[in-house]
This record gives sequence, structure tokens and C-alpha cells, in this order.
Amino acid sequence: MENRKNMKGIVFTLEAMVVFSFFMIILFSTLLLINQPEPPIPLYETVMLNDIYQVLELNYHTDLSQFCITGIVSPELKEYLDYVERESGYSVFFSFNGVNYNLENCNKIISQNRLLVYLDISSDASSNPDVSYFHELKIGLCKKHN
Amino acid sequence: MKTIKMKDKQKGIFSIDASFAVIILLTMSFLFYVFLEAADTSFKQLNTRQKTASLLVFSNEIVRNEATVKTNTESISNKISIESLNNYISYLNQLNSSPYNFNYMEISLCYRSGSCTKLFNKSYSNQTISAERICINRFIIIEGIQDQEGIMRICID
Repeated sequence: MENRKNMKGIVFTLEAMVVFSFFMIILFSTLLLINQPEPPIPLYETVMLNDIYQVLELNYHTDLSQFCITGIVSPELKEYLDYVERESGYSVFFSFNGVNYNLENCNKIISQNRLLVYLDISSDASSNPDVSYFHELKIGLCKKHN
Repeated sequence: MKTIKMKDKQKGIFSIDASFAVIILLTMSFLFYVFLEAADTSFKQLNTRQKTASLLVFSNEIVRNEATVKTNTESISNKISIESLNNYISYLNQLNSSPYNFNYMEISLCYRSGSCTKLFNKSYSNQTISAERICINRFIIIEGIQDQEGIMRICID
């Protein structure tokens, strides 16, 4: 009887510990549940990249095809890409068969593989020319260069 | 006699049990405050995401359909016809409530040359516009004698 009396009080009781542990578990699990994870795909940037590519397809299709064939970006296309960078705060990069534009020091945010259709006749040493229409161009956004 | 004295000494003004209880109570209150803060931030984030999603859908409607250049068979996405855009804006002007329950809407057109025009702005509630206005820039081509590149800026609250 005296032993029981001694166990009471002084240090926090077992019941209180159990209640407190329950409280902590519920609180932390709710905290974990309400913390919303970042969306896996940046929505705004994806829409922006789609818009940019659509404008490029409408106004700079030949320049894009030229880039894929020769690896050179025309001054008109470069001017437009500079305008995009000024207005959006993001710079655009291209990559096709190992030829890159603006990919050096790129802090990549998002990239997509887009279908670019143009007629490409690559002639080899043999007599059969290789004709292809569908090409995969990688395009993406980087954070603006300082 | 001695044991009674010891017990009296242990009682004191503030017992160990009571101090533990106070510490635990303070910790619980702090944790509950942290929980409320996190819940508030989370709901605000959710609200902003919902607004952003509505803005994206609304801007898509304009840029990919309503204000675009149309042929007999297709509408050319991101190529804006000023005539179609004006028609859509006059339709928006007739509405008493905003299409996506926005409190405020604004549409501006900026040409690559640098000139910007505010084409439409309307407030749908008597509340003052909050600082949390969300805007989106859509890269477009504006149809004309010479097609010009530009940006359509759509802001909502």
C-alpha cells in the first residue's frame, strides 16, 4: 500500500504518458498529411514551354529545321529566343542529335521531346539516299543566366 | 513524526508533478499552434493552386480557342485574331458574373515592339482587390498585315 502511494505523483504517471503519446502521434500524422507535396511537373513552366514551341512552329519552323540540319541558329530565331528570355526570365535550349543550343551552364527546369517534321535527305557514300520526315527535337527551359 | 515532516517539505509551493504538467501543457499548446499554422499555410497553398488551375483553363480558352484565327476546319492555337479577341471581350463585358468565380479579371496585350494595351478589366465583387493577384503570360502571335509576336497577359484575383 505504501509502495503504491510512493509510485503516485512525483514523476509523470503512465496514463498521462500514454495520452500525451497519442496526442503527439495524431498531431504529427495530421501535420504530415496536410503538408502538400510540390507537384511533380511545374504547371506554369509546362504551359509556357508549350506556348513557346507553338509560336516557334508557326513562325520559325524553317529556322528550327535548319538548326537540326546544320546546327546553326538563325539570327531571327536567336532574337526571338532572347525576347522570350527577357520577358519570361527563362532561357530556352534545344538539343538535336548531340547538337545543342544554350545548353551550357543551363540550370534545367523542364524539357520535352517534340516531333519536328521536315524532309531530310542525307546522302551517304552508297547510292541509296536516306529519307526521313519525323525528327525528335529536345526543347526545354533553364533558369535565366546572370 | 519525521515522515510527516518530510511529506510537508515535499509538498512545497510547486510540486514536481505540477511543473511537469505545466511543461507538457506549454509544449502541447505550442505544438497545436504549429499545427494550426501548417493547416493555414496548406489551405492557402491549395487555394492558390486552385486559382492557378482556373487561370490556366481560362487563358487556354482564350489563347487556344476563343480569340484565335479560325479557318473552315481548324482554329490555330496561339495565333490571335484581334477581331475574335474583341468579340470575346464584348461577351465578357456582358456577363454579370465572372466565368470561373474570379473577383477580378484583366486582359492585356503586349507586342514584341514593346507597346502594351489593356483590353479588359472588370471587378466582380465589391471587395477590394487583394494583393494575391495571379497573372499568366501567354506567348502568342498577333495576326496582322505582318504577324507580330507578343504576350497576352491575363490576371485574376
